[in-house]
Amino acid sequence: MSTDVAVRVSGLAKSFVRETRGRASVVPVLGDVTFEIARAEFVSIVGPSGCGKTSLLRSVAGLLDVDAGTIEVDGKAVTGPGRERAVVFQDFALLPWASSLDNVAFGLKLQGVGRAERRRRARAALEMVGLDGFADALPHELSGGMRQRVGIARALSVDPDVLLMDEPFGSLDEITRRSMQEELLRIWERDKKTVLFITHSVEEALFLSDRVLVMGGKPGRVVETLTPELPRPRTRSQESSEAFTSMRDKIWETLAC
Amino acid sequence: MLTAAGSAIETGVAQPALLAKWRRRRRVERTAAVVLPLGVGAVCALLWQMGAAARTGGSVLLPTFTDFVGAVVRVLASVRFWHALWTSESALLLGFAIAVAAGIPLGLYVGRHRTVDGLVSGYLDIAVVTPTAVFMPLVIVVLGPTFWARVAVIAIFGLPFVVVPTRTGSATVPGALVSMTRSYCGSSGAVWREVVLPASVPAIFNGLRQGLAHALTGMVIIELTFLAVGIGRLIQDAQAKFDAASVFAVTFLIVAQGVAMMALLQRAQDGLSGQWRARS
Ligand SMILES: Nc1ncnc2c1ncn2[C@@H]1O[C@H](COP(=O)(O)OP(=O)(O)O)[C@@H](O)[C@H]1O
Ligand SMILES: [Mg+2]
Repeated sequence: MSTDVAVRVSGLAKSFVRETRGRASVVPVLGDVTFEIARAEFVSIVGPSGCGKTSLLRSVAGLLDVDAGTIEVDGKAVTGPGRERAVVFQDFALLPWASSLDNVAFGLKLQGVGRAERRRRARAALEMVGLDGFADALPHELSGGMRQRVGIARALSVDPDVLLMDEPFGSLDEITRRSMQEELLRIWERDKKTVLFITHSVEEALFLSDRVLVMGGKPGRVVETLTPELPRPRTRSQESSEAFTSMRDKIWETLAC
Repeated sequence: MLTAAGSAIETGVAQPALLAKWRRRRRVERTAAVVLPLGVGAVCALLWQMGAAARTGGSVLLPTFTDFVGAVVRVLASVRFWHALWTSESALLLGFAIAVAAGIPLGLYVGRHRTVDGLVSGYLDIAVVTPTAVFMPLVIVVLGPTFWARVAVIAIFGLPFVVVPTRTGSATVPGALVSMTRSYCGSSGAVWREVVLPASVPAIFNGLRQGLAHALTGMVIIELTFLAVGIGRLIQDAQAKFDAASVFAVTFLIVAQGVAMMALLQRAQDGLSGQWRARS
């Protein structure tokens, strides 16, 4: 059983100290967050903004120290960033002075992969996200959607077991966002990474995921778990199916209280 | 799959015409960039010549433009000028080098550490608003009327103006890039090398330009006041002899030299940015 679990989070708690007008106060952000993600499972977390989604993802990424609880990835306790995890950031986090190819190769470079090898793997990753013609372009020469493709290619190029995505399509327009969702599923169907996908869009979560965790409350915790049993590969027509709409309404109900 | 939009240049029907128009515009812009300043300069020279000549056929105080050009040539041909230039310049190069060698690491470090920033920024603010010239007597008292006194004055003039922009640069490196680097197991050394330093390059060059301008000011001021050597001495001697044309000529050459140094810095920055683009 435990070998099938890729990510195990239990009893996670995190507070920040906030200073307002010279007075320091403790703000609990995460309180007792517990969930598991099976290997090759696509799990989304939805919740209103400010409920601690980014804090949760940064904790799993090893970028944020937690106050209580444990995080395990591939059965090992998380104490910092690790090679088996890769993050896709909301605002892309691309080096503005580096080409698409260099940006994709950056993660490999940091992990000590030799120049020829990392360029080869970066090219392959760029091709996978449909950007083979834009290897030399700088980020400012790319559209928002293309920039996030670079961000996704960078994460894929290091071949992680777990992909951590923090509202990756949050700053994209609706049309681009939908095509990026389809493209992400296409990539995911190919090599079935374990995905933890953060979003504030209920529809996006349902369309993409095997399981949707709804976060809420103060401090934030998982208040509901839903399993959209929609057949894969997913299609847009499923969005108007009874199963989809009833689950969407249920999530909205949960979020409303 | 969504294709990554073909570029307009491949698909445009009227592309040769469009390109031709674009090239024509560029050519006009480039020509104007050369012709306009030259034209303005020529008009000024003409007005200068006429104005000076009208004053009783070449006043003592205002040389004509042709006198001035003659003086520039004469100054450039004299051994004394080059000797004086070396005297001034060696102090400038050393003083500015010290300001840069101390200022860039200091600025980068201060910008990344809030506690150190709190400690240093007060002094920096004072240094930036204080007329640095008030420190010159102090330096002379401590170091005597020496080469090193000039070096120190130049370094003191330049340092705060190297530090302040550099510190702003490293302080404003996007946190997301640092997080991203750490998420790929980048060490703090890698964060410095791969993110903080390249992201701060424009700010560093801004600091170099401002620092150089102030270092140059320091060099001229101390030679015109406390330590009459080098270029400052040259100007003072010409002034004492009422050789206005030479005063103009040397002043012009100092300005030209400052402009040339700034251009060199720009070239260095462009070259560095190009290199950064090329690596992977
Ligand atoms: N480094 C921090 N210091 C202080 N407060 C923080 C910090 N990071 C996040 N917070 C606070 O924690 C709460 C949750 O933030 P976040 O995890 O970004 O939520 P979400 O991603 O769901 O919008 C917010 O109120 C935010 O202001
Ligand atoms: Mg967030």
